[in-house]
Amino acid sequence: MKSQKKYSKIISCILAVMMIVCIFAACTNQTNEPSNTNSGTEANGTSSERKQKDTLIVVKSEDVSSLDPSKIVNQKSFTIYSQIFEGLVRFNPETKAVEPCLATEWKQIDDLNWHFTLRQGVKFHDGSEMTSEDVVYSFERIMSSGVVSSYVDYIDKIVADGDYAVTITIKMPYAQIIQALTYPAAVVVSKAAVEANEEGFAQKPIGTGPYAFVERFEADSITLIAFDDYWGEKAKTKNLIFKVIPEGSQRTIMLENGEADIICDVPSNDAARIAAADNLKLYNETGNKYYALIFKCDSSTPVSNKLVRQAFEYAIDKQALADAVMAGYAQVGSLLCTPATTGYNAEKDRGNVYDVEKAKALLTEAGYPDGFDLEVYVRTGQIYEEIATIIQAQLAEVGINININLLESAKIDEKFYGGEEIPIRLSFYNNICADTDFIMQKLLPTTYGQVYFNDDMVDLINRSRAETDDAKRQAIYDEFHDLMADDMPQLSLFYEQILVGTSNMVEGFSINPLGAHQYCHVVVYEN
Amino acid sequence: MWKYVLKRLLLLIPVMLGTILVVFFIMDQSDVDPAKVMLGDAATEETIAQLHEELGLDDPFLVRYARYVLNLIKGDMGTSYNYHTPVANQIAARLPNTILLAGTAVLLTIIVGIPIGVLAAKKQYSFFDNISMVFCLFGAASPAFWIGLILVLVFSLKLPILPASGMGKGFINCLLSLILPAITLSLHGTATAARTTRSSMLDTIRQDYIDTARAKGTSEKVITRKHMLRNALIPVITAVGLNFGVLLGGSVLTETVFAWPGIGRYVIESIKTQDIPSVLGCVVTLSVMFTIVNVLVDILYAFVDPRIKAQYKRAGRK
Repeated sequence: MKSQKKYSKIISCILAVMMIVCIFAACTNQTNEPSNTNSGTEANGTSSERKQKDTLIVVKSEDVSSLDPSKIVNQKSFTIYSQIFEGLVRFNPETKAVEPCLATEWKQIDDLNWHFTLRQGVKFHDGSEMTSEDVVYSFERIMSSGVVSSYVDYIDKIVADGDYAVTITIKMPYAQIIQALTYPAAVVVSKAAVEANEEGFAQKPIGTGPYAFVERFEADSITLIAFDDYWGEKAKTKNLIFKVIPEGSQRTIMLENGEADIICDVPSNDAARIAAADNLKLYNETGNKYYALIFKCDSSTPVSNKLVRQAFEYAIDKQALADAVMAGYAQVGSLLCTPATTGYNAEKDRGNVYDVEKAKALLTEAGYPDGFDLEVYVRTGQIYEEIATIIQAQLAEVGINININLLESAKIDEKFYGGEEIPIRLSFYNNICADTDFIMQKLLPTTYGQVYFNDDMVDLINRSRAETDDAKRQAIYDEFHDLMADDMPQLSLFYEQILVGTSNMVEGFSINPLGAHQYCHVVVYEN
Repeated sequence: MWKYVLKRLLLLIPVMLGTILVVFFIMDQSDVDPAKVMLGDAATEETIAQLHEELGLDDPFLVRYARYVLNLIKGDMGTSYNYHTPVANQIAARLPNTILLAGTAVLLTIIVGIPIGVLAAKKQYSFFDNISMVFCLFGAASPAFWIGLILVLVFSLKLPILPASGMGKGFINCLLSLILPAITLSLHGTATAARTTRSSMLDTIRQDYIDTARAKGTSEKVITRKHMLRNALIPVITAVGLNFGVLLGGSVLTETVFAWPGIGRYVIESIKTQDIPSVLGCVVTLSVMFTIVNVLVDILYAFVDPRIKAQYKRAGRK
């Protein structure tokens, strides 16, 4: 009896160990060999025989804040509402140019007046026709919204010129206006629909885009359907469903097992696995977002000295940072705009200038040969926390000991704009208008932030806005890059790459550097 | 007895007031301004101030608390800061999903956990007993997010037979998508139920009345079912009942891992976005559910054990 007990105990132990081993085997197998369930299928070549699916499933990490463009402009929202609404112009990711959309042509009448001819025969999703009245109403709505107006504050007024033309009067010469009109919130809504139910418009948005709204289940999914009366090339897949899956690895698994056709916000750890899988495709392109250390140039700490700010750039190994935090899916750079942004100049981009000796020399020259202690404010989020930890170690090598203060981004902003002593913030900028002008405006001594005080900035921004010749304006942007390299009010760490995974059965997808990818050209075939 | 139940239900009122006060206080301690979260980075100071005014965010703590409670009595849970729709609608759409998931998990707990416990007790120190207790240890010790991911790796990726996430539309798809989250959610409860049943059964097995029943010549099946199990069930009902309450609110991790559109996921999203009305609405709903489940468990005791029914009658008269 006793030996039987002993025997069964040993067997149970062995079984327990086997169970654990099996589970680990399941894990390790998964990470080492990319799943290969569909290796025989070629993506191209047999498209005539393949059957097209009528539903495209796109998985995102976050739900929208609102589907009403006048209520919010953040990436998680405009990625979806830009399927439903359109602006006067749009960015074409293939040609990298701004092209006509609801406006067919435009001309500058004088320094302050721009005339836009509207496309005729454009229908809203409710069947009514779009006229200049809707365009004027839409712009006035975003100009007075308070939530999204700050990026259209260059507009003084907009007036209709007949049914199919409008004139926009701006407050000061602004050569980048056409680029600036790609702003995701500057889209046309149906005046009648908004006036009928202003509050409920976000629940039933009506625009002119290739997809019309069907239903939304908050924090879960949003369903759109191809608009039959669309003025341009109609959407190629009938149903477009966005699903919200907050867990990164779960999104990857959904792509791998065919539950999703496209996944956005691919975790950088999973990117290599998707790229290696035969039945999946990874799209990665540098977007408009860069991560940066933002200095308070009038701080009472040593960072008010520009030599110290320059020393920071030499003390930080940006490549090591990008490799560790973004698994290499980031482009190291030094400019305050990314290669996808108008005004970027590769010749001015110093990339990674990591040189500890040079950093020490600059600190000595600035009068801090032994370094100093400093408070750094970091917004919560895994990426920022990881960057901060690595930078902390790198800066310690040159004697700068930073203390990391981890706070919600809104709280840091509140302290910052409230004038509190925040010597360095670790954050990002997403260039929402895709033009260097956007960031120049943020660095004006008079705009919010008020952390950088150099009258040359005012001069640069006025000159660039008055300059209508692209090449000459680039020369002004180059001056801006030189000024930033010298004064260093922000230290650019790296440019983020937008990572999107699709199945091999998906064709026609291209990345929009702002993250607002368009799905109307996408086709998905049955496996 | 019904008087007793009524008394218990009336106790809900102070429990609710206290719960709301605690949640209100905790959310109030947060540094983040909900108006800023709602309006985004590009909002102007005036707009933020105006929203403060509209939402009454600048009123004193107790004023906001009293206003919330009064509105709640009228059946108004407020409007979600994040989705700009009534919180009550959001909860109504999600609660059935959470109840379905938690209910299935409890069902699994009962049909798997109790038989394992009974068999383990009947065959104490046997091979099956050892195996089942290893399983219980494993089930109780492994966290839901880990088990969830392992199940997804095995059943959605390696053998793609079950969906990895979401809730399927239509009966069959819904059932398929329910399997993995329900197993994940039930594992801990199953382990607890099995262990509780085993130890409670072992207590009962040694009682004199079991020997008496055997001496009478009663069949072993009847002894197990009527004499042992029924007496052993009280602590099991407590464990499973409490577990159901916990599952209703505690399915947060499982719902997040499996993207199950229930209350747990909603509350997490709401906490992230400082959506105070939604968080409060969820907490109030879950507290009410938890209390009701507890009352139901107490009533269930009366049906299982006549001695307890008699106690309730006395408590009702007092």
